Amino acid sequence: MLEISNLSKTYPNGVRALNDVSLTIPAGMYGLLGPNGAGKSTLMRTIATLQQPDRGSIALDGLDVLANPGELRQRLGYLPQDFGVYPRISAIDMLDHLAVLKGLTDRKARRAVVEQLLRQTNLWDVRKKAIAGFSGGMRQRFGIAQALIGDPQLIIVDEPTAGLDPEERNRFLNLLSDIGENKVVILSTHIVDDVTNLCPRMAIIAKGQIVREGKPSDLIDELRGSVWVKTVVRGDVEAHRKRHTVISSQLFAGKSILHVLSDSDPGDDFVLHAPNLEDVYFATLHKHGNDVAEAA
Amino acid sequence: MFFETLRFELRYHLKSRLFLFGSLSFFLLSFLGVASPNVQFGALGGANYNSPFALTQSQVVMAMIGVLVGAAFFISAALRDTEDRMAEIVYSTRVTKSAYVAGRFIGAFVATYGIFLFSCLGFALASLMPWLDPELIGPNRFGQYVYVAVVLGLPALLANSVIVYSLAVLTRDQRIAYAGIVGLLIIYQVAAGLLGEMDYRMAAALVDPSGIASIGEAMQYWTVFERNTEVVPLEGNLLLNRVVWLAIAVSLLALTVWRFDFVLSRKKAGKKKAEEASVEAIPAHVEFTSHAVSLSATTSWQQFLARTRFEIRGVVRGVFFWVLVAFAAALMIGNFFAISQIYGTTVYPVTRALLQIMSGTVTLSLLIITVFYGAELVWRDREVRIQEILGASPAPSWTFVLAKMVAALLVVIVFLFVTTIVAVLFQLFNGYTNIELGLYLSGYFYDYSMLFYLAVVLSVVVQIIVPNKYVGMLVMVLYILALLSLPGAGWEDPLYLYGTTSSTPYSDMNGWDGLLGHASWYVLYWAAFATLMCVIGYTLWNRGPLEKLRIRIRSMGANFSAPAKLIAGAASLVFVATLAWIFYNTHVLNEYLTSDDLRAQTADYEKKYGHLQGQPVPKFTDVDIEVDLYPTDKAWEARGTYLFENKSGVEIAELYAGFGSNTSVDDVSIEGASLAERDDQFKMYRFEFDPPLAPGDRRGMTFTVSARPRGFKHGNVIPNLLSGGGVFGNGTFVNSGALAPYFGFNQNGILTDRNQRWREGLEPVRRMPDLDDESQWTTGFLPDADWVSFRATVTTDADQTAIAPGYLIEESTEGDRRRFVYEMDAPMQNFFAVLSARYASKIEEHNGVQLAVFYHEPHAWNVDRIMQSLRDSIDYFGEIFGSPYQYRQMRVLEFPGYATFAQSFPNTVPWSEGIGFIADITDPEDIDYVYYVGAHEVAHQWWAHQVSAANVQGSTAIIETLAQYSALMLMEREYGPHMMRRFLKFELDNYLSNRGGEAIEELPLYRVENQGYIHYRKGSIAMYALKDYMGMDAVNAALTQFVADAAYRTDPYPTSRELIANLRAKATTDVQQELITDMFEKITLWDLKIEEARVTERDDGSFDVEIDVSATKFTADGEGRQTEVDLDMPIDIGIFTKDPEDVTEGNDASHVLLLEKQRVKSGETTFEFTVAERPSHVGIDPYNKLIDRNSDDNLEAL
Repeated sequence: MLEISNLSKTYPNGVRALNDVSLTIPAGMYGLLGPNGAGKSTLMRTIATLQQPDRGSIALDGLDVLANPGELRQRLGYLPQDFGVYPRISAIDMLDHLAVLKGLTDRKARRAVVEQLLRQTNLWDVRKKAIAGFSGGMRQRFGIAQALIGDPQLIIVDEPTAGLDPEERNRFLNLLSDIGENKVVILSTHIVDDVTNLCPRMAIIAKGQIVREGKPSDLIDELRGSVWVKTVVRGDVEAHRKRHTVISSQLFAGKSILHVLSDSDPGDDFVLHAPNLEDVYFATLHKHGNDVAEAA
Repeated sequence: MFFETLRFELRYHLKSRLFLFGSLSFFLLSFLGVASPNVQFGALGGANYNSPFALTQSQVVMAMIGVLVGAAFFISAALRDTEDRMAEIVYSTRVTKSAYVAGRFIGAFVATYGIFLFSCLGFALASLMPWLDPELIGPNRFGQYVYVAVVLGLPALLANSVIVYSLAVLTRDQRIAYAGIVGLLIIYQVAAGLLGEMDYRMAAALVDPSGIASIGEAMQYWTVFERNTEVVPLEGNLLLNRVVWLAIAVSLLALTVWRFDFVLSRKKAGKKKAEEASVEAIPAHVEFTSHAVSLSATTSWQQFLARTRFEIRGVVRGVFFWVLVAFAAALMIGNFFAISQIYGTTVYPVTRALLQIMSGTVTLSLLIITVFYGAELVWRDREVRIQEILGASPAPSWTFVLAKMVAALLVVIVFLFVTTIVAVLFQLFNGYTNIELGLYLSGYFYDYSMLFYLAVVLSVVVQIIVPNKYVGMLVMVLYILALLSLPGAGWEDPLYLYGTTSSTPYSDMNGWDGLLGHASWYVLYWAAFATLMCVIGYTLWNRGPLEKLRIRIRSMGANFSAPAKLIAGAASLVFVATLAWIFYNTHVLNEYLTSDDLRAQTADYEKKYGHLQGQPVPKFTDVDIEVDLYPTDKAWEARGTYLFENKSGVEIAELYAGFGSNTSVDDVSIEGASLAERDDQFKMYRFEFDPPLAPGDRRGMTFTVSARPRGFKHGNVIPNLLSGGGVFGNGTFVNSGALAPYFGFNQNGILTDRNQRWREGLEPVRRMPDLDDESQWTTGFLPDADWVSFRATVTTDADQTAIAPGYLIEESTEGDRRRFVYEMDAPMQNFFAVLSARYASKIEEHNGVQLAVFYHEPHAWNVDRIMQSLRDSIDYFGEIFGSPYQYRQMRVLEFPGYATFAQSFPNTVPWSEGIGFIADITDPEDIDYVYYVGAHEVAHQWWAHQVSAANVQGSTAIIETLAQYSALMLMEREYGPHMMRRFLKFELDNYLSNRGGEAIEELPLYRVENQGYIHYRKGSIAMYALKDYMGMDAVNAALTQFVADAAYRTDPYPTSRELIANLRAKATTDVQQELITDMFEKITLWDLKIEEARVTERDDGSFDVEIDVSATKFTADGEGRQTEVDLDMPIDIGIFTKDPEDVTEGNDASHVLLLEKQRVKSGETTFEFTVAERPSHVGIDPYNKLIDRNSDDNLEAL
């Protein structure tokens, strides 16, 4: 269990990336949902001991992370949002090298682990190819392979599906879902479906603050009966915005589907909508002042 | 569209900080080049600070390095779209290929040229600075500035720029573009090196895109006057260079436009293929088995090793590293082939000589490695964006930081290793098998490279601290510039010049002689400092995204682990301890004197005692000296009992006795005089005679003087071997300048450089008394002695042989000391040296003279040749000068190569290991300078030790010029007249090249003021021409008469007027008389040229040859201002069947169809001859007997 209390971080340029963040993250897959720039990566890096917070504390199963970064790293698997690799280095060489850095110094055992991970991530056939030539999906699979070296207790994957095509994304999410349930796995993403598909618990972060936290189903239930939907021509969107609390506007076949929030029937030909996690996300952001009307 | 792109590009660069920084530094560099004596772009000789010559020299270099600054512009112009991932946007716009590629280039080029113009501005402003010696400031001519900036600067910058830009555009790899710059620098170096080789000057002029070599070639023979007034005309090789390289530049740019296309890098397109594999679905469910992580004590160590391996692999797998290695190796091998050339002859590839070349040629590559790989290693993880994955791993921070340090060091070591292999292979291919691996280790891997090990560590630490790698690289460049410039500005203590040590000259004979040990204290000192820096670098390391330095400093404390504290503590301790020890040695035990201090001291000596010049002093007559040498301690003590006599004709009441500067005068007393004043700073001791010393009085003098080095000192670790010398472990060479006293003012102890004198507030000095100053005619080259009797008792270590002039009359060994007594039975110059070493020797008798060569055992190659030279010289000179060799013994003694000269003492010739003992004279095409040097030194036994010269202008025209003549005659007898051309060409080139370096005034030979380029080089040509026009018998008869009249004569001493009178007495024709005038009494130059030659075959099989020649004759004044004079004299016309250049058998005249003197007048003349065979070459003065400013057009191939 990972406990984060009162974490704050302000960058030298004045940006408040984390503002008094407190979270308790149990074992299992945990989704951290938030728009770009909400502070997700800062939070991930801070947990991964790569950045120092200004204030607050982090504990993993009782271990004071900020005081003992070295010990946390021994239990950590981290897939950063944006990573690259050295040119001309093959997948197996790189993974082997990272395995040494993770502490697998016994050559035989290390080879076995590397082979197992490459097979699990289905990279065995291309193990001798330079990673620099990998596709986005292959690279992310390599990323998860390296994060899994050393049987980590805490796994952080930061925006792993950004830029992947749907097929690759599916494959990647399948891979994630196989990771043992007794580990803390934090999946940070701005794609709601990732969380819907994988995470029994989640939090929404916006402007450096945790604004919602809970089981996705609970959060959806809370919205039941208050989300209404209507399809309008694009020219009418502005007028509707003025009259209603529009939380999202999605294009479909050239027309806009508006989701509005209302405890009672807003009229105007809106029909009641069975809410999904996306509505939860948009409603939450809307409430906290993020205008995400044109989200995808 | 084109102008749009150009304008955008130009504005983009003009607004950059680099432009501001570049302009400012170019302005300053150029400004300082003129306004500060410590920054120089090349020797000016006697030319003005702001002469067009100085302008050209500095601006062509600035144009060359302009491409270094410009490179950032060009690479940015070429690559920033791809790197900033803007390419897809820009490439899809409507801009055309040519507008895009050319517009960007020109925009970047204009910005670069703008920076260069600031350098011209800096030069111009500097010349107005009030602190410069106004005598050395000439007029600023605007037109010349424009010419230099446009005709000399612009094309150089353009050619280099196009190359860098095209490389960047075509390869889309900035590393290759940077490698291109390295290539340009190397080409420039190669060209500069080739320029020194006469045979390759044309190649040098063409190969270098910046044209520096061809400009240098055009200016090589310029006199001071020409340097002050002229700019290099756009003609000849320079024009050719410009045309060729502009054509190449334009074509390259066109090629670049043509090859460029608006698609993303080909490489990326190719990579798609790799992705096709591995698309099948992942197994639906995989069980992740857990695996244990071992965290034993050795884990971190293994992680460190893995990181190091990984880092070093990243470097040595890159192309750039091997480009650097290949360039260095190519440059090295090129220089190896010309190893220590003297007269075009190389030496055997002894390790010491190779190391000298290696350290000269690989430095640039190592500096690039230092700057570039420091940045690369530190920033690579961030640049490829793997830093966070590494940072999140449990490997401790020190494994990363230390691995980068060690990898940086290993990069240097791999480089050294590869270049060493190249050197060893070179030795083996040359059949040289004495591979001194120990010397490679101590000399190359340790002594030479220590600076680079330390610098590369600094580079890594700097890169860790700075916010981006360009700032870091800039800091490192500033560090290198500081190392290069601070010592010249008087900041020369290695204690604050990071990475530097005391100097460590090496000699085959004497090894390191403890000097490497002294340097090792500095090594330890800087290594401790570097360790401290490493700890700081480690505590500032941050594993995640790069934090501001301020924040990292705040968290330093947390990173400062116990082992780090321990290491820092130990390093501090070592640092402080070595600092104290070095300081104690260089500042307490010994006085810390910078070269500025030494110069000031010299000036002070003159200011204090200069008034003694010309005052009458008594002359030594009897020299009896005991010298104890202690090679292990490098100490000596000398005790002398001298007699002197007042030969001045006036009473002398007061007498100054002076001693060498680095000695301790333990006791000095003079019979009948009292010591009135001691000046221990300048070692001057004033005695008062009571009663005054009457003319003809003889008195005795005794003294004890010693030198006992304590610890180690700053500055020159090897004393000047010409003016004192010193005791060494093996190869002691100490002369009377250090061992013995002098009377009056020491004329050799003054500053002669005009500029240095001006800085010290001294009046310009006359180098020598006027030729016609009769008051000096009774003074020889030492004012305080004529001919003396000599006896020396020398003791040394038992395993060494000690030698002084004279004959060995006693030798004994007592315990660990060996004692030698030498006595001369004939009067000799009061000029002697004592040598001692573990010598091998070869001794033989030749017509009653004992000949001996004492040498360092491994240097046995040319001992027989030296012996032959002694034998032939003694016989031949005795014969042609009508006076036999005056001693019963002649000895050559090898001494360590701290200096490269041979010097002739009475019956004793110390000869440096660097010039001859290791010369490779096995190729018959090469000039046998071993034989020649031997002959020259033996000739001094006549010219100096029989015929001395008055201490006036022209004295060296007797002593050196006649020794040159003697050696030339022996060479001609040995190698034949048709080989002399090769030798004379070297002499001619050397003379002409050095005229412009004249600091005061070029004098005619008969008034030469100890100017080497005149009395050696011009002297050779003058005497050979005289011999050619008068006949050898006539010249030798004149010299025989001269010896008969002047040998041992001191009242008056011989002068050059007497020499000329003797020559004129044997000159029977007007032509001969005029030649004596031209060669001795004037500065005369000829310009002889084959304009055209035509050959027609006759019916009888012989050939008609028609030759058009043009001829001019000039006289020049002391600055080199030429005036044409009437020419009418017979000059050699030659017709050959092969190039006289290729002659290897000098007595074989079979290739000479015709060689005879024909009357040549000013202007064009046509000659007609009929010869028996088809000629291949014709020439006017083909053997370069006259002084011709362009000796290459004297010969023409048909």
